[in-house]
Amino acid sequence: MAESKAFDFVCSELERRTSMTRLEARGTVRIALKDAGLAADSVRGPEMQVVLQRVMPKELTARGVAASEDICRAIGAAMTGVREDAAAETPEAIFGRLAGAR
Amino acid sequence: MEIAAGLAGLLSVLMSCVVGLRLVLLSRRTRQAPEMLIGLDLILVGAGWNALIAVGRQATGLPDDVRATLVCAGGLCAVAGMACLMVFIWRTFRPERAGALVALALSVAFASLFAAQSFAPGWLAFATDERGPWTNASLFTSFNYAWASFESMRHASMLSRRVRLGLADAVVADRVRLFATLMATGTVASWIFAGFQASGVAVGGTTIGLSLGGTVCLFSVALLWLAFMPPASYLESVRRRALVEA
Repeated sequence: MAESKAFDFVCSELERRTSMTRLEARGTVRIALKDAGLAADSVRGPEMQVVLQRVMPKELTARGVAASEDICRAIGAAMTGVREDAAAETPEAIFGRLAGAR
Repeated sequence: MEIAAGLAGLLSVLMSCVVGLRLVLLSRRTRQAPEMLIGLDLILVGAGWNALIAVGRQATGLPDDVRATLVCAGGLCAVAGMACLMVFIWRTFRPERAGALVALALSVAFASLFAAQSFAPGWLAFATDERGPWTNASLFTSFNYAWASFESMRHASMLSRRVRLGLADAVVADRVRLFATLMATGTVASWIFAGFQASGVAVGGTTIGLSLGGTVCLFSVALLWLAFMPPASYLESVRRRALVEA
């Protein structure tokens, strides 16, 4: 399944701004997403922003990346211009409706 | 024991009907398929299958053709309801080709049991002596529920992590967890029933069958109530717990 644009963008930025290889960058982002309960194929911009703020810095630090918080902040700022595809209906949206029956 | 199990079963049928009808009515307002699918599943499996098979099997005073028609209608409800559940799981948790194939395979496998029972020895044999391929229905439904459990538990686990980061609503995450528990209950109950049947222990109307069935029914009623008709105090406690854990 194809990854989301937010995922691809963060991976390529990470690859560009650090010494990580493509494989390392993608693997690190996948681990951070898993930690946050998200998936590479469905993560959206606003969710990725939270991951960049709260999860990614410690993952980068654990892999020896210096100034990880600054890098994450810069990627988050650059990500605002990323255009996303229309999202399919999520399980949260479906289950959010299910107790609304009257 | 019979009266207690009967009351628990009746409560479960009524709860499934009420929640199922509410969801079907909701789908008329929202014009969305998921609520229609899960509502039909509850009506057909939770109410139709259980009630029709119980009456067809236990009401020995009824004419044979009526008993055969009742259990056949119950089987049909089970097949249609399980298909609704499978489509719901596919569309909600795994909306891709692989999910569609699993849903189709499980639905067809279960429907083939119904066809085999209809072909030979027929539904009267099941109504009177619980004979024929349909005796494997519990085993087959356990596969359906196992997939539903796996997908919903996986998602419930992801949502609980999202709640900690403020990325998901604690109430919705709790609803998915309750639904996953309901599916897991169905899986375990089906395995136990199938295990008893495979080892020759009768469960239809026996003390062991009634006590197990009654316990499962009561637990399912509680889960349905909390998931789909939650009282305000319960929702408040879920929100409070999420705040503490965040």
